[in-house]
Amino acid sequence: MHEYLPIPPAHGVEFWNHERIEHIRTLARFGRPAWVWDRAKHTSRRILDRIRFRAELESPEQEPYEVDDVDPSTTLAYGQIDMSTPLYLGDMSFGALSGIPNIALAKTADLTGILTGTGEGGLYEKVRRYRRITVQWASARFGVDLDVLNTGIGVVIKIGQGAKPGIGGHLPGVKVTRPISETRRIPIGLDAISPAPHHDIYSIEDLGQRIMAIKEATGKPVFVKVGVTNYIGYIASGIARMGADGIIMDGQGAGTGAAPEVVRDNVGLPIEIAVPVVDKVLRREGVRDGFSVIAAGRVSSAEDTAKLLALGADCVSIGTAALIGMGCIMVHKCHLGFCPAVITNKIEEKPTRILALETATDWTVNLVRGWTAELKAIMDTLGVRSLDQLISRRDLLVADSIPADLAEVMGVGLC
Amino acid sequence: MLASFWTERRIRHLKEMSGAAGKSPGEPMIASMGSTGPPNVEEPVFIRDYLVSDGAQVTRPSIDPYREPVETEVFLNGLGIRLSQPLILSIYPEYPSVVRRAVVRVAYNLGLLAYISGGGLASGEEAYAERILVDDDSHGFTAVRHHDRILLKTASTIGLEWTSGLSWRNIVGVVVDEDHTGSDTPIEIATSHVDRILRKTSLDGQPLRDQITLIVSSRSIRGADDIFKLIALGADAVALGDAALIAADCVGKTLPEELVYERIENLVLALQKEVKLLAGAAGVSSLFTSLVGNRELLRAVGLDAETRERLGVKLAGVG
Repeated sequence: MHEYLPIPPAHGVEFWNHERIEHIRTLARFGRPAWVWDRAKHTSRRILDRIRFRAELESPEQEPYEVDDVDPSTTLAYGQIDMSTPLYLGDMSFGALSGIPNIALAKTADLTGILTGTGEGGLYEKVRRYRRITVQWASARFGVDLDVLNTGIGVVIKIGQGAKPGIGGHLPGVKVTRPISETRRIPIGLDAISPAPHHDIYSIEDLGQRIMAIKEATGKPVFVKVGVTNYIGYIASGIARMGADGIIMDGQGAGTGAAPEVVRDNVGLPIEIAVPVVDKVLRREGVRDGFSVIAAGRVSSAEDTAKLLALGADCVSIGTAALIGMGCIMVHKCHLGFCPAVITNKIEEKPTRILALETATDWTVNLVRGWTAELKAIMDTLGVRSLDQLISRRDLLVADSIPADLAEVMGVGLC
Repeated sequence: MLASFWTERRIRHLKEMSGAAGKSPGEPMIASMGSTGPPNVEEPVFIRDYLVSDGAQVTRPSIDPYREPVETEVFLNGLGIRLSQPLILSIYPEYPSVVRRAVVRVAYNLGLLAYISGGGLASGEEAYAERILVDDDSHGFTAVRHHDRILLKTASTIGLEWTSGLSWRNIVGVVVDEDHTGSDTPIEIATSHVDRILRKTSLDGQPLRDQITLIVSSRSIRGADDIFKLIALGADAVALGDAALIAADCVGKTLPEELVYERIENLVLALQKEVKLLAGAAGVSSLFTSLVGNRELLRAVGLDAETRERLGVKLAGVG
């Protein structure tokens, strides 16, 4: 596959509507900024889309432009990981994705100086040689051994994910083919359903012991990934106190390869509420400096990125948007194993169609570059020259048609 | 003509669980990529569309609903009845007779109750009477009856008229029916309100709530999420009707009773599994002891302060 498929009409309303998909495709094709202010937000119900930069209200019509004298680079994990731009390519497993996309993500991370997570399914051999990856230690421990933990730049302890907080990973049996069976060491054709909790983590102290054990074994930074739930402030504070180097918070609405619809649609809170709440708690407790807050779930544009940073995150994670950059047309068929864009199809030994690795990598690298260029234009318009002038700057934002008490919880002023 | 809250997404979900569509009857519906549901994508219709449930993580573990027991049984104290899950299947007068018969049998065989709304037992149903609720207007107020036990039936309202002049000694439960004449309050608010009133009122030195069963009924109940949220707002059991009719996909069709029976049975089993998923994710191991009235598990993504106060549910982001 070297070309994007036509985008089919959506069944019912869709967050990732045609405007958002087209915009991501433009970035992925050309690697240049396509807009400054996100134009898709005006038709969206999401809370983040009803928070605006004050600067946008002053100059709503901005043509895209390239900026040189703005620095979007940052560091994560108490300065241990340099990032050219605050983008993390979300933790998507080998199995949920069909192999080529996993390689393209890892290659993109190396080429652009960012990070990608391998997700839950163990380490795919063809991803192993890339440097800028985190490997995941999830509740089923699929394919995890000391060698794998030592492979990446860091380790992610996956407690939960935004699409199904409190529920374990799920790879439908139809996608458990021979290569997956070998990587995960599980029988062919059976659903791989990870335990809902880690059965050796029943408290924050248990988690602290795992963090320390992994750090001692690898010497690498450890991140803890959680879904956003009612007590996210306390959870984040506990994770920081237990010695983790960062938290990946995944909000309600985030993508998934397979989840029970009733859980996906009814459990957890949006990321834009969690970020300021957690930032405030961590600052109050004196554990914010150096600790990394990575925000995930429906991050669809550079403006979303800038807003989540201004709300208090250090970095955002992009999953669905990266897949759209590779050709995803949002038909919600990942769990069935026959993805029309050959991104989440089941892995066959003799596939009839595959994603072209070079093309997928080009698209993803361009997406990161175009996205970053838009972020720099937003930073320039806001009058900030570096990310430390943007992070936790809730004063730059204003709430537009959201309830006053919700705006107060988020620390954002009213229009 | 179905009401607009029966969206294509909702109908597909019910039919996949019943086996009228899809390949996994009796199982929770699996989906992929991000949610398209309310309140952040689809426009919310009901108050419960703004409510989300908790996922237990780190500071207390979730319960694995596939591998660990999650108890869905609830006890209807006043009736002395144990339901296998907090679900009652309603039958409305216009339902085709095959549906009525199938629902009565499913309720009996799976340890639920059938509720014949607006009527009494038909011939041939006496054998199932131990698992049937009927309407009964012979007590000076609108009532629901199970053998000789009487439940007060009330509209969905926060007016207190329904409590005046009652002798609680003769009443074993309250049925709040959103489709009853006089309903002027959303079912979520009425549920929470009645639960609180019953908790505040005592009879013989014991909270009335411990002696009185609270059933809520609405033709707008769409699935396990609606059931779960109304239980957390205070109901012991939730009665649904049209969801089963839609799931069976029998409107305007002539289907054999056995097929309708099988589809409704599949639906009931799938709803139980979905409720277990929501409970397990929230760290709840027993619905009856840990979910009924446990508003702390819910958060409101939006809603005004007054509505949240009436529900007893905190705003999202408040710990």
